[in-house]
Amino acid sequence: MAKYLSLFCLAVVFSNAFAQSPCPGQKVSVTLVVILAGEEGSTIDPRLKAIAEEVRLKFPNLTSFRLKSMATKSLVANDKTLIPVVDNRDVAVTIKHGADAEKRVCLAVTAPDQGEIVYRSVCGKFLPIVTRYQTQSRELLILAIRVQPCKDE
Amino acid sequence: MNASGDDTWPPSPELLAAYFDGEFEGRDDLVDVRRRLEDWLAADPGARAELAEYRRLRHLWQETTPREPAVTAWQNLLRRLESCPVRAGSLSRGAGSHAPWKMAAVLAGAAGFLLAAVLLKDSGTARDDMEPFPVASEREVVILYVEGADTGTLVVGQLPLQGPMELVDAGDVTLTSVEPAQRDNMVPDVHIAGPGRPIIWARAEGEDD
Repeated sequence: MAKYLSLFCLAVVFSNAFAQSPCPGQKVSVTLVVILAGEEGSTIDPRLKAIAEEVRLKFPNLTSFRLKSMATKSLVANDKTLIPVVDNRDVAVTIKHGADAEKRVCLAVTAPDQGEIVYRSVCGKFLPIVTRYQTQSRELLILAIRVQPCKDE
Repeated sequence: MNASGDDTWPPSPELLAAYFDGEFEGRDDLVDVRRRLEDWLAADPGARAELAEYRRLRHLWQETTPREPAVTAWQNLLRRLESCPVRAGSLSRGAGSHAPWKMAAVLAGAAGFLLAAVLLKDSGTARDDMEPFPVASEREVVILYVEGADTGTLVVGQLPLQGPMELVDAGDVTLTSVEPAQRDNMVPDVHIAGPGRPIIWARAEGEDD
């Protein structure tokens, strides 16, 4: 009886694992766009128009949005990487699992001056994270993170 | 050559040239002629001036004469000529039977010929090796990191962000957990369910929940 119980438990564990990530070892491409927003000037990068509109709902005094950098990393589950953002500060990104049955990726993000945030997201779209970090030129650090399955997977 | 006892003796130009060139040095049989020439020169200021002018010209000539190539250079050139398929054998055979200046002229001509042959050969090789230089296509280059100011300078490769940024919509994101900041326990304001698009705000100091 104990033998059957052990087999049942193993089956439950494996079924849960595959339900969470149907493609274990699947690579996930993480894209981080670093944005600096300031109160001086009125230039908004056309690529950032959508996020500028969202941020300005709360901070209407931010009139300038420029693209500081963009980076892409290819990671598998439990891979952790540090991506430089500004002033020698990094963003830590960990893939918790690849695209699941709902084609969502779970990842953990730790931005400057913040704790870890773990969330599941659809692929191909950016989630904005407005930090409280400001550069020496008083520009606010904004992150936008996107996940998507790697092209070769 | 007029070396007799004629007092009106004017030396011929050839004799003067031989004297100026030092061909009388060490020639016991020409001692008399040499002495007579020197007497004549001592008595003729114009001849002395001509001698001085000649010596100055010879000095200039010696100073401006290009240095002769080393023996090894000539040997290398001959070796390359012999390896040249076009009439190299006839050139090397003929060179040995002529005066040095003629040999130099032949070698100079041969060097020009060799240079032309090398140039022609190189151009032919370049045409033979003219294969399309492999250039990575746009899909074969992955941009891992780029500064925002440099995104317009890339000529190949796909940028991580192309075109306008597409943001997540309501229902696209599910929050799993949020940890407070280590510094001051700040917990960000997470707008996931709407209204509006999902966005995560860090709270400013003193900002209420």
